[in-house]
Amino acid sequence: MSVELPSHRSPSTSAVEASAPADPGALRVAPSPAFFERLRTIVGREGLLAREGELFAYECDGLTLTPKRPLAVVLPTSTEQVAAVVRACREHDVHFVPRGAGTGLSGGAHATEGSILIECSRMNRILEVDPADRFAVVQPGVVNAELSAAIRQHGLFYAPDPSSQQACTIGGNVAENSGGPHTLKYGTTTNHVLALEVVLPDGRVQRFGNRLGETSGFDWVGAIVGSEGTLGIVTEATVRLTPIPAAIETLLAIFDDVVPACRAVGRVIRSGVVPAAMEIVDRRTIEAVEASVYAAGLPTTAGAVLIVELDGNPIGLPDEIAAIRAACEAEGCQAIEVARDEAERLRFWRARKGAFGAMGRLAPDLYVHDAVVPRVHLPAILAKVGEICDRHRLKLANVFHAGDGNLHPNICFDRRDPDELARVIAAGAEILEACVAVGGVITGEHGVGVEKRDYMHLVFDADDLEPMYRLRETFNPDGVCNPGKLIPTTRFCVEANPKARGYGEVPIG
Amino acid sequence: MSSAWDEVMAEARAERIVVPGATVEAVLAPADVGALGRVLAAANAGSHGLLVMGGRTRLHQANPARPLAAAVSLEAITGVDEFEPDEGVVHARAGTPIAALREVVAAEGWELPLDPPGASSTVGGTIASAATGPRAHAFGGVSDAILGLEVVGADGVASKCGGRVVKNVTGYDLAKLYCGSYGTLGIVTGAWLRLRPRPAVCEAVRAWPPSVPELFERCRALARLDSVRAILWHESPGEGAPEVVFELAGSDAVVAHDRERIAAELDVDRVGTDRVDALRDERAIDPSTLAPDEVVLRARALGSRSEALVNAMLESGLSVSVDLGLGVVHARGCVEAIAALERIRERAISEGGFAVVSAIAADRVGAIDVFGPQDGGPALARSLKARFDPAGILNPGRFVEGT
Repeated sequence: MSVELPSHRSPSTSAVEASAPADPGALRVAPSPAFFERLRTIVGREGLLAREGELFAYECDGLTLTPKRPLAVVLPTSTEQVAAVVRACREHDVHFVPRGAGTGLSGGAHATEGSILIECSRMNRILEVDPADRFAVVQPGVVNAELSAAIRQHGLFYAPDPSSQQACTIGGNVAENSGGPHTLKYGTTTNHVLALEVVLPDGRVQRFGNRLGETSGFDWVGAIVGSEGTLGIVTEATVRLTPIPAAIETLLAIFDDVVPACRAVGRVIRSGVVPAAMEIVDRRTIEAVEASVYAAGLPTTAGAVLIVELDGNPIGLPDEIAAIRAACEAEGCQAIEVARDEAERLRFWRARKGAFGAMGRLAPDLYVHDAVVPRVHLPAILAKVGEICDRHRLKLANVFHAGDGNLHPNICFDRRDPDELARVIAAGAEILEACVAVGGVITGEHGVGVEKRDYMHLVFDADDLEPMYRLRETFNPDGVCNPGKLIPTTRFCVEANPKARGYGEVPIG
Repeated sequence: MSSAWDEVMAEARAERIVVPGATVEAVLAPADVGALGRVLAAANAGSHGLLVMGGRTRLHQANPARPLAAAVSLEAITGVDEFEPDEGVVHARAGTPIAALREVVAAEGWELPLDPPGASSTVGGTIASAATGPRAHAFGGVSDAILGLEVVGADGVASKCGGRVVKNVTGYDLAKLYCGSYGTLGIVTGAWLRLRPRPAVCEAVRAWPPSVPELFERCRALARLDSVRAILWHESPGEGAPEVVFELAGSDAVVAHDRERIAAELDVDRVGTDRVDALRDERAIDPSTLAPDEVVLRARALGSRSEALVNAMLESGLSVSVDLGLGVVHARGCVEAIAALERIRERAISEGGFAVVSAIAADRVGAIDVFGPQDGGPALARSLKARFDPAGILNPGRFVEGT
């Protein structure tokens, strides 16, 4: 059943162009006024945004290049409201797209043609915290950082910490399987979600999982986390809570260049020490940070900074610090500092966490890329990414999760310059191809969304995608829930049509 | 019967394998992934049910099979084909024995974070059954170790999901679905696995706890020590003092610290870590040894409520082997009425968990659903199964909800 992919899905199709054509299953008739009246009845006047001016802010999420205005935005306050909205959408043949805080970077919360957004930000209550069994039950609109703040009194935290954690929500994190700097030791969102309540695309409410994180059957929770809102709308999540480590040590090593910093990361991995985080910030990022309000006092001679965080039992940490020191010195680092107190630790992290904000100084627009390579290939791929951007005359700044091999090349540009924009897109495609060529993948934590949907074939062929369609169709057989995301909208293969194979009538769940 | 199927069966060897509800007389052992694809395509075309097997450790943990034409063994699809000591990842074919893979990676300072009961467990079988052992306390579940999988679908088409990198959100996380679905959605042929650095020190201590309540009370704090990676306790009613074994792993300093913490709570002596392996492997069952009314269960409850579940099992006259930090209880004993077994399951569910019937005597097969009630009910499980295996050839009937 292997098929050649048609040429119009070739890598030359940019993410910008790719989302422009209407999706095949998209709505053709505008919904009636009765539909909007029905929504208003469900969520109330304050829960419905349908006026031109109100919708402007909802044209995109963190991926700003491909704005698309939704028909309406609903802001439900309960699971029942979400389910009622979904049923109304089905009756009126309107597609729907779940949205958290809109901080996603791959367009997962973009309103596809003729769809409404269901934003869960008003469902923001922490329903239960159990310090003994270390779990919390939360609504999807709870902000990531607010959950950790709320449980701090119990000596616990919620481990996944995406850079947007001051704004992003648990519901969005579940949809995207969000990562963050500390995934190196603690894993990504999928390692911390125990159970979910989901409004399925047919409007029914279903619970999956339990408070253990293990069931006796299919791992539905594991399949739903990271499904980018294409299998349903998460209306409640039970998440694992992690004890705050007894001690934390943070080191900052200064290198002449990003390549030896990457080599030092390789040495740490081989040494057997598992840091909580290993992050690299390159020269251009340091310059931007030092010129901004996030200034961390880094020397301007620094070509790259490696931040390493260790945690655990304090008696074990001196040996680990020594191992990190040895790895960095073996790669010729200029200097290595260990934070003496919490204030200094936060100063070290400011260079990392303030990087995206500071880069606003570099150019009007920033394309934040996301790809992963085996960590042994980091030195070579950083050089390659630099070469690609030089060739396209683009300004590049790197700030990335080195310990995971997760690159974030940030390309500075001005969208008002169409030629520069075209070069940004071309360079992005080349970076993805270079990463895949060494065994990497096209996204480590930002998701596929609409941004990378048409690059999926770099990693997966039609046979690899087929089981993904089967999973999607089990939950979302007619594609009404977040259409056009994650995997190409339709198969390019007649035999693969579910009706042609005789199970089109299989009921969903 | 189609000729493609006849050709496939011409390669079969005669061997009798008894599983719940069915007996198979022929075993196919395709030499490679291509040959496995041809077996499945032929079986799919003729709707021939297949028993899928790896090391055969958990073949009895299943609902009664619908008719089976043959068994497919992954024994020939074996070997470690890529190992990157600088990266801490390894690729192994499904038939690779866990024990062999463990040795390969240990030679370069890495540790395989898989710990299934049973000396013959394979990579593929461990993934298919999501089988964990006492060290899941530190290792986590089987799917936590999986970076990517290769799978042959019921239609014989090979596909892959995930990758070889340690962080990846490219596409649906299908590995989560394949892991623990007992080969009913596709047959895993190979896996990229994430390794852990081999600890500098690994040792075990054991104690004879004064009483069950005191054991649970003391272990609540001890389970949270950094280096503790297994706490295994077993008790058989009327069979002498129960034993608890702690395995500690980490740096010299941390292990020494934690050993002293345990010694302050309990009278301990040193044992080899092979004591943990031995107690773990006792949980692998030879179903031919079961008495007519004997059952084996694997149940789990929320940590704070596992004591109640353990007590309920001990009161029912079952012997237990418990992973204290995890709330996992392996229980074995005679249960006269199926209704009593259902009550034990209900108890596990009410304590926040589940109970799987790992083995039951042949004449009671089918009297109780092995996996118990499922989220989404029969419709969702069957809908998924129908899309992945419409002809129902992969372990038909053996998994949840008749899938």
